[in-house]
Amino acid sequence: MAITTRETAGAREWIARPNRSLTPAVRRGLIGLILAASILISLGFWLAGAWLVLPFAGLELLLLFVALRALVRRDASFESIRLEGDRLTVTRHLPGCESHHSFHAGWARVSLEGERPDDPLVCIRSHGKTARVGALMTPDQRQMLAMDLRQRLQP
Amino acid sequence: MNTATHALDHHDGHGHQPTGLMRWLTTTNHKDIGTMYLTFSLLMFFVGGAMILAVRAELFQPGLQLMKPEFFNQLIGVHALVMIFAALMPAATGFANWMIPLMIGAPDMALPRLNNWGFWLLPPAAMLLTMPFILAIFGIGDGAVDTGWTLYAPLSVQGGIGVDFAIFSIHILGISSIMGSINIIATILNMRAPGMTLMKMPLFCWGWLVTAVLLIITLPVLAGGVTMLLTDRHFGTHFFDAAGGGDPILFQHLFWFFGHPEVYILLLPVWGLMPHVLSTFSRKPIYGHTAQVYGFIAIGVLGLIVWAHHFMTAGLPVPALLYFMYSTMAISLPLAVLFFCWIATMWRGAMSFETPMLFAIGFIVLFGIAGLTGLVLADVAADAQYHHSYFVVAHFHYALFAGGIMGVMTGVYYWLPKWTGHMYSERLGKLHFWLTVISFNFTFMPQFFLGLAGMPRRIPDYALQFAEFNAISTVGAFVLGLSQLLFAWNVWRCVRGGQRASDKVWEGTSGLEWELSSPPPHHSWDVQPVIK
Repeated sequence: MAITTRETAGAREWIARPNRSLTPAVRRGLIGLILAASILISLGFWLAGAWLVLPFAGLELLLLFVALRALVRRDASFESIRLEGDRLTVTRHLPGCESHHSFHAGWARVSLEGERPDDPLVCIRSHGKTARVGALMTPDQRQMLAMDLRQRLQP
Repeated sequence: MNTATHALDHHDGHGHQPTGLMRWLTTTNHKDIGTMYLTFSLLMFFVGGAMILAVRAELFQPGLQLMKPEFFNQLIGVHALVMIFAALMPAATGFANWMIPLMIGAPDMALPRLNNWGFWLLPPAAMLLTMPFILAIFGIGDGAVDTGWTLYAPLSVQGGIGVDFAIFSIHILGISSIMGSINIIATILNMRAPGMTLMKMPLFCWGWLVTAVLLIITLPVLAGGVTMLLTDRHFGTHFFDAAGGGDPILFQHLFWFFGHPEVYILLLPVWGLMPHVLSTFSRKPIYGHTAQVYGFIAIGVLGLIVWAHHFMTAGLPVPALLYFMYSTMAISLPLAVLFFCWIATMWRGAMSFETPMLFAIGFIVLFGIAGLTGLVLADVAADAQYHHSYFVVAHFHYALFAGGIMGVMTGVYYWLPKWTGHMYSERLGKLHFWLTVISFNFTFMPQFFLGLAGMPRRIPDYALQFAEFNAISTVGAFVLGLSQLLFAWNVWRCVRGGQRASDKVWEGTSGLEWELSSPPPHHSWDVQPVIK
């Protein structure tokens, strides 16, 4: 879990993403290596009369591909909080959950709360709307974010 | 501007911990699953061990005393399958589950649900393997698989229902291994802490990465081979039937294309673990980290291209024999690099000899004997003499018991205080080590001489000239088997309580896993570590 902050003229953005060490190049290399080895071996055995190796290799590669796809999908997750002028926008892109909220910075209130008091999320609310962020953050990171936001939202 | 509003459940928290049976059935926690793998492995180790003690009891004297030859053959075959697929592999997977996330700074395995399914496939597979013994008691079928673990055709084509049970069991075990391998690859490649480059990664993880790739590459070959066997048995195909245009030697190619890398699949995780143990108790950094990484990769690659040395007497053409002889011997080069690195790690270190270190040194010495006798068997001319003799049995037990199981025991003693938060009994541990090493050599060293003298393997009766060495071997086997109860007792005592272990446990440790508490919290690495 990593939080990066971006500061441009008049705007600040906090982006949280899950930690990932698999680069697309390594992922492609891994799939290429296993694919090449599996096809070479399966075809060799096919030529020797053992054609049933190929379908099993295919099934296994399919499972590997599906697993890596699931990882890629999960790695695309992010939570972003952007403060620009008097607008505070919160975007969440998580598996099975996408949301986008926009608040007036002057009215937005930040608190730490959740279903379990020992593991609260960062809550931003205003005018009856609530956005909860922090699913991709550690408890310490949530506290830091809440403090930082409160300081910046103070009039 | 609010374009989508969802009620956001707080489902990403980490406070909940299910309890009771449901915790173990539904757990996706890597530590729970690791514990289940290790417990299952220990249980099956005793099941497989009991089988072979019955075999050794029969072999105590020449003649048939205790069992019929058919039952003897069943015990031999199921012992091997249980020890390889249900004891050693799950032990290594248990280590991987427990330690890889801790070592690379990941909160869990990359695909936790897949992890749970992977484990829960194992008990039904083990039941399938052993069930024919019980069915035979009720008059159903003629017992378990009696072809040896190699399932060679055409014997296996003609065998009883035990072969079918073994085939289905192997399929399920294979699916479990594939799931585990994909998960381990995904975890190692995708969830390393920031700053932990591949070359900074602990060697245990490297050993497992190569293992997982080997499994993925070779398992379809075994799956295809045993499925072809099944269709030959029940669906009228003739893949391995020479009378129908098939080729029984093809099965040997299929089996050993998986079977030989399987040796490295069993051993690479142990080779990866050894440098950590040697470094800790020598109080020196690991010597030749990079060399060992390349050694693992080289052994993995070479392991894929040497399979036919297991059946050099089956009538292969001479150029093939020469190729398989030289390529097999070539494996000794990267393996020698590993040995030199292990010894250099200890060289001039401030060594101490706690139980894990004793097992590690025992591993190096005894596994060295496996390597040297392997070179003898790789020689085509010598192999013609020793093939299918007790020399081979002794060789692969020096590889898989001394190299595999003693390696696993090294890991258990090394990491048990970290897992449980308690120290095991050092006195019992050392007693276990000395009993194991001495009785192991009493069991298997005579088998080298039996093989050299010409005693064939997989026979319940033998010539009188082999009686003394067989008696020694049987006494050794019983001491070896019973001394493992000390191990189970020591582990049980440690799990139940004992002297508190510190977080670092051992004085010379280094690595992320020792930064966590002993035992580690249910959800580890809530705060992402960074490697500098």
